[in-house]
Amino acid sequence: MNLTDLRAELDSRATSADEHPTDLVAGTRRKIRRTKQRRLAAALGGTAVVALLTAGLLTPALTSTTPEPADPPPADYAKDGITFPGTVGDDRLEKAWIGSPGEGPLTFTWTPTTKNVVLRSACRSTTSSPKGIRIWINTRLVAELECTSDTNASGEAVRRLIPTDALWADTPIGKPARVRLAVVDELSHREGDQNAQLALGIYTSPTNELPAPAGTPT
Amino acid sequence: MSEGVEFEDFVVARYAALLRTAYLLTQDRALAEDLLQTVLAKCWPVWRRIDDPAPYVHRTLVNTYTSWWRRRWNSEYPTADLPHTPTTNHLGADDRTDLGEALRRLPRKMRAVIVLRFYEDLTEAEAARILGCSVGTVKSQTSRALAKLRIDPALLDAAREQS
Repeated sequence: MNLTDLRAELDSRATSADEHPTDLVAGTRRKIRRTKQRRLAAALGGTAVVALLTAGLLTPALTSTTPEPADPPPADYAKDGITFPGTVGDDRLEKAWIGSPGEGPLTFTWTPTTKNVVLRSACRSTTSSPKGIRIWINTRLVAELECTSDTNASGEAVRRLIPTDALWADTPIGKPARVRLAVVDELSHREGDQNAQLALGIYTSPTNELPAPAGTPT
Repeated sequence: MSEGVEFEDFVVARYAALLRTAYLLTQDRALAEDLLQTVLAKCWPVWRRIDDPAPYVHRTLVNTYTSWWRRRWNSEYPTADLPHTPTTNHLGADDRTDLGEALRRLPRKMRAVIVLRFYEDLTEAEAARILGCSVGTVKSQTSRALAKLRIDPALLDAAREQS
């Protein structure tokens, strides 16, 4: 490979980063907000501080001189007719991945910024037998969800993670985690559907509330 | 002072270019986004004190990338412990190209030098300033990186297939 080839390859690869653009500005805003919250909590510590922050009493006095950027709703993420809405109720879309038909299990990296997280899966399968989706974060199986193409669905296509979930014991906030998503046959419990298309939207939730809908997997 | 260049305007105007560089450095789309968001979040609190935002953010991007990898946690992929090992057809498009494999095998600083010199077309002096090293180090890292790429098995195999 000569230098001209190398430059061309690098250009070509860099351009591929433009595919599936995400709302980086919104992600940056969220990161700034989380950083500020962590710094505040670290500096002041204790339950009373958390209570004051929750009540919004401390924030104005501790805001730095640089104004925090405005925080409009995140953009929807869509591909191949599958759409993850930017917001679902109070939940805000943090990241989404939509695989290609027949691609197989999705594996990607995600850095959690909060312990209040909602996983919304989507799945298209052409086979007649019932299918489900399994989701692992790092090595932990965190959800077994219904295979549905409706990303707005509630109940069995949604898994809500809360701060007391065992997942957070080995998945620290702010450090990249490996996420894996695979389709399974609900009868044989075997993994795999060569034609399935899988997708996952990761939402952050502002509350610590436990899941309300009946039938939601725990 | 970065007067006239508001943080948000800068992010909107430059994020695509910065993301491309981050992508070439990390070779992973999701990590590239995380890296860039981390860098921008780092720059935001000191924004008003930055004289010239573009080189400052650029330098922070490269330095954060190398420090991430020094700390190791960002390069840990616990796939070996997963209950099911993905097969090759589950890899992203990035993993399928020979150059991608060859770049991924380069040490992080060599990869950064390659990206700065041959993607961003920076001079040796400019690359040295961003990396915080001497021009001589940039020269030697470039030479060694190119030598590694030339003998990388993935690229040799591809060349054999083409010939």
